[in-house]
This record gives sequence, C-alpha cells and structure tokens, in this order.
Amino acid sequence: MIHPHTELKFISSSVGHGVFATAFIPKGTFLWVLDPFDRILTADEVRALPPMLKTAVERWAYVDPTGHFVFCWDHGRYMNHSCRPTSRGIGDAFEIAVRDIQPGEELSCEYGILNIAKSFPCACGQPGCRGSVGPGDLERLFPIWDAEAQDAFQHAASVAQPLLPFVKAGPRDHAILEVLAKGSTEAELPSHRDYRREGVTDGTVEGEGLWAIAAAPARRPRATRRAGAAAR
Amino acid sequence: MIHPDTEVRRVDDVVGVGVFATAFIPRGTLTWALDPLDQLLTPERLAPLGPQWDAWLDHHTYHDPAGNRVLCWDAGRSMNHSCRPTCGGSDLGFEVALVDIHPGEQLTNDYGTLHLEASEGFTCRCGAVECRGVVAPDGSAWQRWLPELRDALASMTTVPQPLAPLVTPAVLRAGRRAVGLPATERRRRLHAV
Ligand SMILES: [Zn+2]
Ligand SMILES: [Zn+2]
Repeated sequence: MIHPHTELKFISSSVGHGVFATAFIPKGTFLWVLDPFDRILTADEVRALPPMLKTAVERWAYVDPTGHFVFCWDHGRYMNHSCRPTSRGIGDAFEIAVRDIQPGEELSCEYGILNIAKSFPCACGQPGCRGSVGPGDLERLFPIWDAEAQDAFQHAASVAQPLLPFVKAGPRDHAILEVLAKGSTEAELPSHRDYRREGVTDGTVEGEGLWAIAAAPARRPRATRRAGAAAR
Repeated sequence: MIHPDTEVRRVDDVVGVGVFATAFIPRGTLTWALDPLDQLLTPERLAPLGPQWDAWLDHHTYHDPAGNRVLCWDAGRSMNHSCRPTCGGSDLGFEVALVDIHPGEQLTNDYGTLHLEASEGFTCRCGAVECRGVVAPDGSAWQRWLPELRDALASMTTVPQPLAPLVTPAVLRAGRRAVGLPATERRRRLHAV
C-alpha cells in the first residue's frame, strides 16, 4: 500500500505515470508497505493470464528473490526508478523515505534491487545518474543503499507511520515491527544484498524484461517466499 | 478490466476521482469485465482483517451477489454512482454501456445494483433529473435498468469490443440468459458458469 498522501499523475507518453506527494512527508516515513492485497503470482500464473493482463503484470510488477511476481493492487505499482530515490527498501515489506519529501515531489525507488533481467538506460536526471541500471548494480552499490536505509530508520519511531497497521510482514520484518512497537529504532536491518535472486547476471537471461527473470530457474531456490522491498 | 479508452480524473474534493471516456464508447460496448487480476474477497479471507481495514473495504471494494467483496485491480474500482448510470450489468460478471458514452463523459453505475449494506447508504448529488437523493440498499435497482440493459446487450454484436478476450462465450451466454431472472435464480445460474 502506498502512502495516503500521494497521487498518481501522468508524466509523459515516454515515461508514463508517476507517484507524487500531495503533502509533506518526513524522512523515516514508510512510503510503501507490502499488504495482504498485493498479488503474489507465480510465473505459471502469469503465463496463464490473457495477453492483455499479462502485459500489465510484466510492465508493473516486480520480481522478488523467489522469482514471484509482486503486482501491487494500488498506484504503488507506478513508482518510477531514480538513481537518487526518495526511498530505500527495508526487510521484506517496507520502503522508507531517506529524506524529507515536499508536496508535488515525485516518489521514486531503486529498480536495481528488483531482480530486473537486463540493463535499461536511465534518464532520471539526478546528480550521479548511472546512465544505465542493471542486475550487477546491487552487488556494487548495496553498502551505500544499506547505509541510507539504516540512517533513515533512525527517524522511523519519531514520525507518523500511517501504513504500519496495514503491513503484511515477511520473515525478516518481525524484528523491525518489534523494535518500533517499543518506540525504538535499535535494530540491525537486513541488507539489500539479500533481495538478490540467485543465478542471474546481466545478459545471461533470454527474453525480455521481468518475464525472463521469473522464467529462469534459480540456482539455489529459496525455501521461504520473500517479497522485494519496492513497488514499481 | 475497465475499457481501455478511459482515464481516471479528479472530480472534486467531495467525490474524489471518477472514470471518464477518452474516446466514443457506443451503447452495447463491454465497459468492464471481471478478470483474473480482480480479487474475490470471500468472508473467510476477510475474517482475519482488523478494523483498520473497514474504511478501506468500503472505499475500494463492492459486493457481488454471492456475498463476497470484489477488489478490482484497475480503474474499475473508481467508477462512481449515478442515479442515471451510463453502465450496468455488474452481476453478470461484465458491464455494458447502457447509452452512447462520449469523450469526457463519466462511466457510472447505479450503486443500488451493487448489493449495498444498510450502513453503506449515502446522500447523492449526482445531478441527474432522476436523482433519488439518497442511495440505499435497493432490491428494485436491477429491474429499473432492465430495459436499457436488454437493449444494450442486443446491440453488443454491432460495436467494437476491445474487452471481448476477457469474456468467455459461456459467461456471455449465461449473462444474456440470466439478465431477466429474479435475483436468486440469476445468482444460481451465473454461479454455475
Ligand atoms: Zn538515473
Ligand atoms: Zn443521484
């Protein structure tokens, strides 16, 4: 579920839609949480969809570390990538604001953790834009992403968290919820590195987009279902 | 899935958003079809949810005739009520345009046909000549639009149907046969499909 103080807006025919803040949202706020109504689809379930629906899932779902497609029920699925995103992923079910967000500002996330199959060119226009976003970025950049998430989390207990009652916590989220319930932020957060679906490097997967990655077998299948931390 | 020639637009602060035609949609066009990405929320699935979900359920879901709630994945869930609706037929698993819908006009339902609970009635300011003023649980709503719905179904084959791939012939046939039946019989027939 995306933060209530957001709206969907059309940007351009090339970018499509984006998610924008309608009010000030402070650093440390959860901008998105996985909830019980976000659809988790297997590759076979996606394959069986009528073509017009398959297109929608391929465009707006992301792939979690187990190769499942996560299709958000609300406009969280329209969040765009930025090389300087407004939020970072935490645990299995959270995106946290890493800086204050002003009304009218676009909310963005990092597609580099979403188990994308192939690199795509980026024109986010942010200082430090990587120019291209690819499957290998995670391995190189996760320490920076982890540090930003850890820093933002220090504020999580002192700001309003309207999404907290709606989260569907994954296995690694319970510790986060426990410390927050005590009004504390003393927690060692899981690393972005753990979101990586095994067996995938740039260009090793045939086919296009998210679809290819979910169809590719994981080298080491994981026993537990985990959702990635960001909505597309 | 909602008809592709539509968009969600803000109406005002009271109503919120609505679904508007971006191209001409002739009477008899499928404007919405229940599809595999829409979620059927059975009483069993809703039981474990806490009270924090109540307002969400009222806002984003509707009741089907079998006692489930339905969460549409797309703009279908943003369709507003009108006492003079442009679309109808939701019980059938699809909806059709009851009238010609022009670009800029809103796609609407008579919420009286959507199995409202007693607590879900509301004051209407839809502005239609026929406006009932208050929309409440309404056993006669289906009958009210039956002539329009029959006419629309009769002209289905003469207009383009971009949503046709989502409606199987069996669903279509069952819907057309069940449209004039009493509510309980309609429910029984459609459930069998
Ligand atoms: Zn960039
Ligand atoms: Zn009215």
